[in-house]
Amino acid sequence: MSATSIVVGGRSGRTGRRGRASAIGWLVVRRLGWLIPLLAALSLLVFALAELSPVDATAAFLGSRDEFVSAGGRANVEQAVTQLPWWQAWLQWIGGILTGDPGYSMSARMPVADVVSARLPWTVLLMITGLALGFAISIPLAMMAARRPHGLVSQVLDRVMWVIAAVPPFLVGLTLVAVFALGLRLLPSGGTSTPGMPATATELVRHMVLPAGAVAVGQLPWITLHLRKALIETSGDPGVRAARLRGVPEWRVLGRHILPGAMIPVLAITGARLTEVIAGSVLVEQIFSWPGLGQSLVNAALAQDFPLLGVVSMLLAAIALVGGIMSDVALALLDPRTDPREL
Amino acid sequence: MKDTMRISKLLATAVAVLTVTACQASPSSSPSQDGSTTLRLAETNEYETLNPLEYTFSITSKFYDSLVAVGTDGLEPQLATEMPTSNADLTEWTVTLRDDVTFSDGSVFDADDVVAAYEAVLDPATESPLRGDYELLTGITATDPHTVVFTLSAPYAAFPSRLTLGIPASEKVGGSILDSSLAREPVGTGPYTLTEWKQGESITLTARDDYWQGAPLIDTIYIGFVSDENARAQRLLSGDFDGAQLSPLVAEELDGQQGLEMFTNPAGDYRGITLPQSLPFFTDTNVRVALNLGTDRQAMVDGILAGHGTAISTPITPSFGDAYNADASFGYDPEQAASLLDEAGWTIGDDGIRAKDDLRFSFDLMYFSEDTVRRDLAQAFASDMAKLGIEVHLLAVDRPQAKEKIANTAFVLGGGDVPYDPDTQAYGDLHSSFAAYDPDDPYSNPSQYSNATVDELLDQARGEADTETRDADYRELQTELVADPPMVTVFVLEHTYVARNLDQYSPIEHVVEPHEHGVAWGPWWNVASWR
Repeated sequence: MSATSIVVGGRSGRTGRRGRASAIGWLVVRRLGWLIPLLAALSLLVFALAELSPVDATAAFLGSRDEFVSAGGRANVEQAVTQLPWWQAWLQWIGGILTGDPGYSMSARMPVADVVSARLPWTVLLMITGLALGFAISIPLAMMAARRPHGLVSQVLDRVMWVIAAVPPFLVGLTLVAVFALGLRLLPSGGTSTPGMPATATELVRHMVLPAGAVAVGQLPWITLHLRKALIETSGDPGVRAARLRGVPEWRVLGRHILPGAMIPVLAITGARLTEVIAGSVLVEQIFSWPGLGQSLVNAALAQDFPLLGVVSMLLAAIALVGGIMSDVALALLDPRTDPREL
Repeated sequence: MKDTMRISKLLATAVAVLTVTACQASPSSSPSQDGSTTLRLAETNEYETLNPLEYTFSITSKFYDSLVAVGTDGLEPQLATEMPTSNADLTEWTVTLRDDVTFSDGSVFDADDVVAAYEAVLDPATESPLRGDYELLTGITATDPHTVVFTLSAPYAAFPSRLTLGIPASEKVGGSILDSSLAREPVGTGPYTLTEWKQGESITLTARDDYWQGAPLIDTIYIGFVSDENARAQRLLSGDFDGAQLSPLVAEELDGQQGLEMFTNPAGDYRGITLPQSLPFFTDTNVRVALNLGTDRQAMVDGILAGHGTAISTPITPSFGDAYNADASFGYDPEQAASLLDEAGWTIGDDGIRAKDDLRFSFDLMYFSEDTVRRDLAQAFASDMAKLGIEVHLLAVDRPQAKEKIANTAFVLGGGDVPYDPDTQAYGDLHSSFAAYDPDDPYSNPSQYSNATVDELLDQARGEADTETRDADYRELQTELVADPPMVTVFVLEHTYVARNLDQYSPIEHVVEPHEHGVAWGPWWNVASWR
């Protein structure tokens, strides 16, 4: 959505500063207003899809024990996991959500609220850190490449980024462990603290480097390549040329004039790309025993655990949608040429 | 999608191999052990529940004791003062309980707790998957605070092997397993209590000072959940963990690296190929014998299990001691197999595949797609069959599909969920009363095998009080199973583990493991009694 909305013409933002702020406020309200029916519709779809999937809830509940449970026990479990038809289950679930009770998770054997409050912060922390790290690495790379668009650095970077884009996130994770945890013995290889040691902030930071790094690596290609393109385009702007003519030092031109302009389209894309960041984090969580929502989502889907599946998929969708809103707000704040009323 | 998965897997394996090689080059030592009494283990998957009324033989044994428990020589009394005794016709079993045992919440263990636990499993409202295991059980009575009497509807010599249920404090029992607090907050008489559960990451167990067998030496057990096997191997190498369960090939690779050592335990965990008699090929005994003779079991043990297993021809494995009949086994004899098939009328046609009355000898073989041992076994079997002129199509399935198709499709079967008595190991797989397909019980007798002699021996042994006579019944059973095989039983696995720095502890015991295993088994099985 945001990718198209950045193409704005010379329509000026001549409205006063206050008018602009309220327009941005309106944008947020409008978008949030859409968010709720959209999420509700999406949740209905998730329940319907889960019902359609060939998953056998009894077999999923029993896991590897399935092969050994005899008739009496299986009848018991079938009775335990039997659910209402999906649309009734959805009505019950959404009613619970509205009254503040997201229900009980069959696969985690605890209230959905407990699962989410234990796991969501870890997923969000990993995503934000990973994305921030991705930007921190990408920005200098893209700036280097943009100085000579057809130079060697740019060409090598191109190739490397395409290779990285093709590598699955879990393999990135395993490779990072192989190099930094096993080869160099610099960093721990999983969990949020060293097994058997107290969990401290230092421990957490050390343990977050590799998983966040793995998430970051997954985001490098699109950030770097988009940013390089934007940098090249922005350096042709009249304002930038004028600055150069005035004799402003090149690093200052880059930092003050080119980068802010070039970041605008990249930030706008970031919101839309958040879903990918989430998907990447889910796999990374698996490799690094990171206690996020990813594993819960997979378990809930396999077990036809409607309440948990509903809440987790809504949350992840909400993160992606709110990301979209935030990138549009960022766009409106950074780029005076955009009209918030048109986003 | 499938191809990408395969490539990803391949790459992952390559990374693991590179890692191992890299570590060979730099033989730095693992982080020093300061003689602390913490044991850090990596488990394959996060536990969904710690409720002992849902499953036996697993991590629950750290929190709960049972009347009878697994020991080095089979079953031994635990909360019982001695092995259960029965009346003459094996329908009434009396268990005398210890009087020096307390639960982790301070309450005293007595007969009421035992009655509550077993009654809960029998109560449909509990929705326990274990209920089917206690079909013969009709009554549980506490005759005094330290004596419990179990009444059965029929004689059952193997009943002690069903007394391995973990006993929770009776006040915690009740309601459905789905919302029982025992799933997350175990209260048992066992050596450890749960002190932390980091969702999706780990659990921490702390030793009880007041454990009735004496406070354990290892005072903290940290169990991390690392589902990816490559990640598990890497984290073992990096020193994050002291031990883990690994597949035979990966365990072999890590053996000797970074102070890691491989440990193996025997198991009752067997694999076989079902030959459903609903298919026209398998109604003829000679054909089933031919398929058994044409299967190179030893090659499969060596290739698929890296030698960590034993070729077997029936579900009664060598770990059953005197009940095992070493003579009742199939050698590898493809020539005799071919001539049996010729005699049976299945002759090789123009396309190199045997046929009889225009019916080609060609069938599907299902295996669970996520289980590499079963996949490799299916491939090896198909290749052995191809040499005999039999076409086997491999079919990777998930569990729901397997249950649906098992009546009419050959399947790589796993067995050995309670391998402490030949009855629990073999009865359900072989008795004709399970021959008809039942969607609620699809894995019992999946070949629809029916043999009156086998039925008689199984029933006779079940009601036989004298151990020697019982063993003789089972030895005879195996002779009959080789004469008229229900399936191609291929091998019994050894479970493989990797650990470091266990020399300082003793005794490390090697017990026979069931199908279900993980870090609760292996060299850590008796961690509570290490000194």
